Amino acid sequence: MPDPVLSVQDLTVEFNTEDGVVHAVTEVSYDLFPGETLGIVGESGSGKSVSVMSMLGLIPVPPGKIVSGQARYQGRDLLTMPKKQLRNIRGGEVAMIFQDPMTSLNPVLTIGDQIAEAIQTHHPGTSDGDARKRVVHLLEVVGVPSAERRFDQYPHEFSGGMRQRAMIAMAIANDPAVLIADEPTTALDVTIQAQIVEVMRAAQQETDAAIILITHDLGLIAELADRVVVMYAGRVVELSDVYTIFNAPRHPYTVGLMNSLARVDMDQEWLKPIPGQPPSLLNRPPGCAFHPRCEFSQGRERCRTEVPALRSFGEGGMHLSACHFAEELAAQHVTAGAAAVEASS
Amino acid sequence: MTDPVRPDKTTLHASVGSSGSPPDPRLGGGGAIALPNDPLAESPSLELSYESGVELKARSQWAYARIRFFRHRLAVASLVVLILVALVAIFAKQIAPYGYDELDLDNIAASPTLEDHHWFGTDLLGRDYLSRVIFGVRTSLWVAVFVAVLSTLIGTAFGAVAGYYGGTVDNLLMRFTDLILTLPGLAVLLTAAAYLGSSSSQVGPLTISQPMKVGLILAFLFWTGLARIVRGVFLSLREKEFVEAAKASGASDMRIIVRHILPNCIGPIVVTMTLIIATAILVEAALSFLGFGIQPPNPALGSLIADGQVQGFETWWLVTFPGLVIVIIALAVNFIGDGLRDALDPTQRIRA
Amino acid sequence: MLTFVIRRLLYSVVVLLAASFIIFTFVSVSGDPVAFLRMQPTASEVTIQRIEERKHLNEPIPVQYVYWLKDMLTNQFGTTTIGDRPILPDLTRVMGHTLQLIVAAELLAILVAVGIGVYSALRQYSVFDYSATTFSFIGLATPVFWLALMLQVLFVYIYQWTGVRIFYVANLSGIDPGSGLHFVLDRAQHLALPVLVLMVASIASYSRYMRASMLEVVNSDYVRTARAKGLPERSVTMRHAFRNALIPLVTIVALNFGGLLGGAVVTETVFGLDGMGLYFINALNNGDPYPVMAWLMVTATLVIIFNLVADIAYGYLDPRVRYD
Repeated sequence: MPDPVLSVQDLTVEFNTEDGVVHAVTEVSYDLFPGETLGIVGESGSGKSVSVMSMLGLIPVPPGKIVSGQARYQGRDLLTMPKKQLRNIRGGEVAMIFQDPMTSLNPVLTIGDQIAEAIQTHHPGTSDGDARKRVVHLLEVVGVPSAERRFDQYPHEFSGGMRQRAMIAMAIANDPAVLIADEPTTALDVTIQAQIVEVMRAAQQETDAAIILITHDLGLIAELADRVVVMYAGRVVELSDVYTIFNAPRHPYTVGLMNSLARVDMDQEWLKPIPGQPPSLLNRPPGCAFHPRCEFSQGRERCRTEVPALRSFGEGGMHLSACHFAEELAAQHVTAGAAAVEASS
Repeated sequence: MTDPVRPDKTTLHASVGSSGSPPDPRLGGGGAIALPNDPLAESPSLELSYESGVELKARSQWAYARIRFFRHRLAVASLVVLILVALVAIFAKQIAPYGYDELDLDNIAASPTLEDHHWFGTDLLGRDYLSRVIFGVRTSLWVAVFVAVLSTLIGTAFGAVAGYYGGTVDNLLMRFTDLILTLPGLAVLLTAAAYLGSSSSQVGPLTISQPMKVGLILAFLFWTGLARIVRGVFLSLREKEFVEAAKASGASDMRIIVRHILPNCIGPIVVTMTLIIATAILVEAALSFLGFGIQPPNPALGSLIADGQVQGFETWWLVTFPGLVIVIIALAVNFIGDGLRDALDPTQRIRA
Repeated sequence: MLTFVIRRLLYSVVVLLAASFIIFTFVSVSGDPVAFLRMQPTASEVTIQRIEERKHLNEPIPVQYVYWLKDMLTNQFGTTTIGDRPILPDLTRVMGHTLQLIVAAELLAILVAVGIGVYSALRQYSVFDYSATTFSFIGLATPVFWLALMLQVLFVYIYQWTGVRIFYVANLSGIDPGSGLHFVLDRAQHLALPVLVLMVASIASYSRYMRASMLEVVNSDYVRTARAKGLPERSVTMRHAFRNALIPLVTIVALNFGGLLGGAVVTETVFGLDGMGLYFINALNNGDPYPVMAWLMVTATLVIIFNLVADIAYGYLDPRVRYD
């Protein structure tokens, strides 16, 4: 196993708000290995974006606060690094793609200028001409037609899909080692989503970057991810390779997710959502945060009082689950989600 | 996976409370929520247990707005100040130590003092200035409120019609307001006041007093702003589904306008109306100062300042106090307007 | 772009004509230009009659309007009723003075307000922010004429106590202002207080909008992207945030122009400046409709031109609305 390019250990992030302390991220740990695509799945408010943004220093520090933990990029801890160094890494070696390309691009600057800016910030001394050439090349890589002409256009002259391509081009401009995509397809039409998946594959090929893919779209995970981190209420509840997550999940929440998928190839009378609501991060339930909604818990004492640790499960040590009774689950379930993975591979 | 059972409702106020010991889910659970058309009600293997430690209390929109308003200490303080001022204005005759025209010949042009209740001093004819200011406040205040109410009524009517019906009606309205707005406001007001407003008139059995005329002229200019805002809201809401639904169930246009769309405008309308009061006070004072506003013998703060100008430097109080009073009132009204805006339209979030 | 400008100008001409007709009718119906003379026992009937004929006062109003229009366009904006004084030279003279006042006040106000607004936004909830907001509130609640008077009183007191004339409280220029630099300094000393007075209201309003706009922009997604790209904070603030935050201010400034003129009217009256404001007030007091009409037309044209410039500037700053 090669060394991870990014290693998050016990990251805890809180926000001080008027209504109290929001525990956005609690003791989150995962590794990112070179060349792989790591998916982070969870509902809105599960902490998936915050964990990543706080690593890059993108959360506002009051009211936000990184309470503890480490985020090691190539051995150096991003959280304690001097700001200037972090800034160098941000956009250069670790780049990010955001959710809504319309609002994520500056409306008064041309697309070309914005991408060139990314290049010239991290490679000072690059002439405008050279920068332009590189930008045009990047636009071609991501599949923007008439790249030369598009350089001088403004974001509002691009379609939604093209804007996201431009954002991806901006992110890979400096050949990053890590590419973080935060809900890259959520704001787009379904047909465009498929195209963006291709673009991301092309981007990964071009740069050999490792990708962190944050999304709540399980279909996207099935398409692109190698390993998956499942987050709930600010904690990691399960971590494994994508086949296992879909085929044989070992946490009730993941089981619930898989069961709730709409299936074209099966007879379903009712969609089976996970009952209840995600918990408020201001006041999480004691013990396991999922227990109020958990079918398998059945009100057991341990679930209600003790926070389950993320522990290794099964052979190989690469399957982690945060459930007290994960072994029981193993005995019961094979889920319908398995076929989804088969279909896409 | 977002929860399909309960979509977000922004009017719910989450109060964080302890939930005590959780009910036994096997017994059907306390707090099990069964909504109409709830698919879960029919799948027997799942039961809802309690919400995770958060109690939800539903409050009406107005109660919530009131809470938000009272969080603004400045707005609340201003409200108190304004109420006091209004009381003084209403009961001017009883409160003012002297009459508006009463001469105190022993104390001509006296600087402010605590004797004889001449707290604001006296003017060149020996009239008590505090009383004069009080009467001036009374006039200014009622004219301002009159302007605000009138322009709100007209503006809302016009804006609603223009926004709802669109097309030619809307076009006409816009052209008309363009016309009015092409000229600088004060100039138009001065012209109108100079030619129309210098005396009271009889319209049939009604006597329109001169101050009321000034109010009418001001309202004529101010309704355009409100009309635009109301029109904007109507335009945006006109296409929404709830309007279609109302139409489909046979509601008349009038009913749709008044009962469905108009309530959505109340926030901006109230805020704008408050701001109009403040602006009206300032503009009326300017007009009176220049001699085109409220004419003597009606008391007006602007005319007081104008008269006090004569020996501005030796009798500084004649100019200072009326102006100070104007500033205080306008400030109070503005703060209240700000508080109202936060209370009624929190999405705007322009935290002053 | 050119078609846009031409279309706007044509439309404006139509609006101007319509407005002028309405106002002319209003003014003619409600006032009698020779009323002043009629009240004078010394004015002879003949004089009055001659004026009536010259001004076509006995014709129906639409006819009067046409005569007026012709006069406006061909004969130096027409002449005053009494004294038959051509209007244009007077009007251009006072306009020049007022423009000095307004341009100076507006430019300074914009500079200061933008500075205050941006700094308040970047240091939200700081002492500076709260003070700036308080100042804005007070500034918006203060009547312009009263502030002018207060400043006058203050500076007269300063003069009385120290014997030093820092700023003048009346008139445009001293008795003998000289020429060149001396003239400019003298004018500046005389205009300082009026400019200050006009600035207060503008700054109060603009700085609030600038602050709100800057706050909105600073929390926007594209600023987050700029940070994610690793740009230095300064670049993020100036190149991405500031430029975008400035755009709505153009509209605010344009909308405020009418108010600025109104403020100028009042300020000139208090400070005794020979400008458009005083000219207008005097014309109104004299009851002479012709200078009033001429004044209104000129002002309306100024407003229209200013709005047009503002729209073009907006298009320049915000590429989303180009080629209107």
